[in-house]
Amino acid sequence: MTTDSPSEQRLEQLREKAWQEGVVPGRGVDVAGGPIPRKPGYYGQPVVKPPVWTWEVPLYFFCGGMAGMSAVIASGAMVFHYVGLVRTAMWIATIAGAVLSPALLIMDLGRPRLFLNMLRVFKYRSTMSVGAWILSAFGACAFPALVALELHVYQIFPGALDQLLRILAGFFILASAVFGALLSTYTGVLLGATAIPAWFLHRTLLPIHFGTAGLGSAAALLELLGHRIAALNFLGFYAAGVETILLIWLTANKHGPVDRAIHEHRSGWILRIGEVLNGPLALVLRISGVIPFAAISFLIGTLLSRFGWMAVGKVSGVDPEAVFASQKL
Amino acid sequence: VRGIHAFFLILGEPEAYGLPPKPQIPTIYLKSAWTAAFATAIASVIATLLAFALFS
Repeated sequence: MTTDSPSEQRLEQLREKAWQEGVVPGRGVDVAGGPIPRKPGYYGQPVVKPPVWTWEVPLYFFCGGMAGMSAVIASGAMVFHYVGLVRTAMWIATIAGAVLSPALLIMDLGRPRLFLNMLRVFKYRSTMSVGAWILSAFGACAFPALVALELHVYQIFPGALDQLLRILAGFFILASAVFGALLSTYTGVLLGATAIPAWFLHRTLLPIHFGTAGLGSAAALLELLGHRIAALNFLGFYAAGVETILLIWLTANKHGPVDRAIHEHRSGWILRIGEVLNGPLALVLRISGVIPFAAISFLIGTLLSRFGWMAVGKVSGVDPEAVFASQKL
Repeated sequence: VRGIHAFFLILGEPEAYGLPPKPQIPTIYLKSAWTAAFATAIASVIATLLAFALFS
């Protein structure tokens, strides 16, 4: 018998002790490179499946969020008679929400007919199904609203028909504002109610972040398109302020391995750079009075943070320790 | 498993099999997430109306 290596000697001692006392307390022999896993989990294999979404989905979150809140701003502007602002906001809502967003979702699905399959049922337990319906309802309200509004503004039809168009435009703008507010917040629910640890840990933060970022980016784009009014500046302050608070919350409220994808990885850097751009930096630029730069910073920051959250989900989903730790909260 | 009424019998730690220790259906968290979503939606509408009311 060879007794030269330390582990063999230790094994001999354990045998001796077991022979004498019947029970052996303390550590056994660690076999170097042995098949016994040290970490919890099945050899580091992922427990849950990471999201398979590609670049279309975060871009859709950006477009949809902006379009939805654009309709909200349009209805606010309509109530206070800013006709020019209503028109621009409804153009943004229609282009981003009724054209680009469905196009991006269809590109993600692969075939246009699959989007119709999404509308075959309404499943309230599935956020994706609810979202497909919200997006469709939004498009079905925003597009007629824009058509009726433009026909009314250019006075195409005379008299009573024009009055009817005015009422129709008002109704559809208000309806698209309702669906728009949901369109820009449901995406947070979509990410939050999943098994991805870093997402589901922040399930209340995500809808607040997505909705507010949508409002801020709609206001920012309207400002860049020439509507430099105090109301939009106020909305810019509001959105940047909320985003700053959310960034502080996200940074202060760490949960170790559960959301370490947010604080450590490259994905976390994308997310944090995005949040800094649309939170504190946009706020500081706005206070300094350079509103166009604040608007650009907010838009870039919002876009980056959407991609950041998606990247965080992919990193967090393949991290088995994060899944285990998230369940022990 | 809470939510789908499934049941798994395993010897030892579930982690060692690559299974979650406290499995649950993520949709049981829908309520808190939707509450936050509705609150944000309403807050955004109020903020917009407030913005136009204060500065017009």
